[in-house]
Amino acid sequence: MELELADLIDALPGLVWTALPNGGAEFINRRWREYTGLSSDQAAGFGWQSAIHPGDRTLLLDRWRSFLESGQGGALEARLRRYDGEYRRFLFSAAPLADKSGQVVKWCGINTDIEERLKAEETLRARENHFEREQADAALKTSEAELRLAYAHLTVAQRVSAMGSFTSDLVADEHTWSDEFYRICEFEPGSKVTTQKLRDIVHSEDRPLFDAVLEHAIAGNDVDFGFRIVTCGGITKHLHAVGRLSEHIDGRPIFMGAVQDVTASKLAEEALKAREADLRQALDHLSEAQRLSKTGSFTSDLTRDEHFWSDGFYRICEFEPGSKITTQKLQGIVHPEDLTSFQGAIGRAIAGEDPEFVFRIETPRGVVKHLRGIAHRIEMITDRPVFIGAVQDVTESKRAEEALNSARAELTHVERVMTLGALTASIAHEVNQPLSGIIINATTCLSMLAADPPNLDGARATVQRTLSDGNRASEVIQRLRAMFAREHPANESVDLNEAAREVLALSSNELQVCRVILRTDFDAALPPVSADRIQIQQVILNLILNAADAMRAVDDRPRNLRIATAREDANWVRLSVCDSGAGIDPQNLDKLFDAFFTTKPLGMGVGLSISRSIIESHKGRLWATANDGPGATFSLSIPCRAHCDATRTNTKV
Amino acid sequence: MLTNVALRSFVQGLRMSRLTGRIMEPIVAIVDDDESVRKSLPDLLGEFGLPAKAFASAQEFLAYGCIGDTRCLILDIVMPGMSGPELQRELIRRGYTIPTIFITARSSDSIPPDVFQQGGIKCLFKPFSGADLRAALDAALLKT
Repeated sequence: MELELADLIDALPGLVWTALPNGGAEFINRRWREYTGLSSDQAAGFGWQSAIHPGDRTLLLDRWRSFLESGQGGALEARLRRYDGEYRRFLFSAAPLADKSGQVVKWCGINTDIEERLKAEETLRARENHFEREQADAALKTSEAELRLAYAHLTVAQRVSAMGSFTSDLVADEHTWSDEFYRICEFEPGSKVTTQKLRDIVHSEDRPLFDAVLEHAIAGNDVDFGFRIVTCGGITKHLHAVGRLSEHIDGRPIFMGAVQDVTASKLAEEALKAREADLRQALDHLSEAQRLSKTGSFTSDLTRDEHFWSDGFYRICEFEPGSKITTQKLQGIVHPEDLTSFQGAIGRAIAGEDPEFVFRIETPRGVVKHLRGIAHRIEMITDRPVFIGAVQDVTESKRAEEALNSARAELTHVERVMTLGALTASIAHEVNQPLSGIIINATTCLSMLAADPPNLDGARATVQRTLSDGNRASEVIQRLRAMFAREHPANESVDLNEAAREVLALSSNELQVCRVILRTDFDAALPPVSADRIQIQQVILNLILNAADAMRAVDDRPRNLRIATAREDANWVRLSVCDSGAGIDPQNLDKLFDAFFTTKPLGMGVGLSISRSIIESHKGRLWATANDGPGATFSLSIPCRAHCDATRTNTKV
Repeated sequence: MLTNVALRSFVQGLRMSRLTGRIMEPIVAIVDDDESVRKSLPDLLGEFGLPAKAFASAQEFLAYGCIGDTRCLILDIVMPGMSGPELQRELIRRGYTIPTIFITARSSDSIPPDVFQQGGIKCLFKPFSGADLRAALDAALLKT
């Protein structure tokens, strides 16, 4: 049994040993002896220490001592020298043997060769490390690549945005600049940069600012400022720099920031300012132009009752410039008589027409003005109609127009008087006849009454005749009175045939004197016209006298004067006066109607021009044509009464 | 009343018409296109004791056929168709020289200058008074 045990102990795959409680070796097995090459004697006690690697000896002994003291076993690693001098790592395990009382009587242990294991472990670890390192390398490469890419992006971004970046230690005057910053300043990329080097290219006018900002930064403040540089290439650039305090190193502030070349945008800004100045000037010009031309313009949103008026408009209406405008405010100054047509015009504008309308306003100061306005509905943003338009103060031209109308009426009257003046002899003649009759009859009457016995029947007859003559004279006077009167034009229903007959009665004597053979062709079914009777008669008289005049020199043929009336189309009535006189030069056919055109040595030359304007004011036409034979025909046409009413439009008030 | 001399000579002018066998009264013929004159003059002449007849135109007078009995003519100057002076000329052409009183409502410059050579006595401007007419008639009838 003892032998087997001894064989067993020697056969165990490990270096087995026992030790005394003091730590000295007592027994070492054969493997121990074979491995170390030490004999039992050499290893006994503390001799075995010599096989421990010197580097591990102290630590092992310390641990061994602590086992011994604590009575607790344990394990530790140490290098053990082999018989051939090579050290291998072993696991030293020790365990106490205690007697029944718990007292440690012996220590036993086993040392296991773990060199291979450890080597394998190391190899594995190395491989692992290698793998990790490779991974890390790859990761590093990737992140390096990403970084490079990011950097490339940044560079491009900086280039594109003309922005450079920097990190600066102002106190130590150490700076890191991006490529773009170099490029902006036209420095050699990568060259050393100092504050002075930058300051040297700062525009002289901006240097004080630059210095002040730098001081401010050194004091630890963020900066944001603009300054100019003048590059060595001579180019002036506007820069905008922003710097932020990022950290302190040894108490020195480190700034990071960016600098942008804002020259382009600076120039754009200046161009914009100039443009703005131009626009402002244009607006001033417009304002001035509106003031001079007494116009105003507006944009109106009627639904929202929002209005934008130009200064000119405020000025016209005498409202406080810039004050709020509402439709009500404007309507408040529109003349009450024009309010309806004004609102009508607004309605037409809403409906999409572009009305032009004239209306009067009475300003707050009480000044009455005539305004002409136009409005246009511009395409709508939502479905609300928005209008633009303009108004013009046309008071002056209205007054001028009224003055002109007044003068024209005056002239018409003068012409009428003068024409009638030409009839003086005829008129005298017309009155003379009945007057003569009256005197003869009265003389007869007296004679008859003085007879013995008085001839009462005869006397009565003379008195009847006297009355009759008196009425005849009176009619002439009445007719004349009407023609001489300065009447305001008053339209009534006029039968042209009747009107012409009256004129012929007035001028019949004149025609006789002129030896004119008169013929009338009146259309019995002629519809009436709406006209001013006196004015139409003035025109007819003018035409008749002209015709008689035209034939004054005619001796070789009858002096034929034909007056005809006819209905023309459905809605017009025509009257024509045809003579057999000298005729009209074709190129004068229309000139005749020009004012002051006359072929008569003593003519005033306004008769036909006034006649035309009278007919035209009746919405008619007056014209002349040459006859097939001798002479000319003057024709006038006027709309029939019904047609005239139908075509009457709401013209300016 | 007319002067006795004038009246006597007038009555002496009464004679028979050869053609009709009627005793034709010598008349004063009035030719004027104006109605007032034609209506009023005959009665006045009647008060003067002179039968008168009024005609509206020279043609009407000529057509009536009493030229030979006309002792005196009162003629308007300006008339449509044949004028007063023209009628006078026509009568002379036919061999009659009748004392003529022209009356006119017009001004003097429409009177042909030779009317007085052809037997014209006077020209009266309307409106004329009864006395003026009587004086002119006296002068005209004395001539016959």
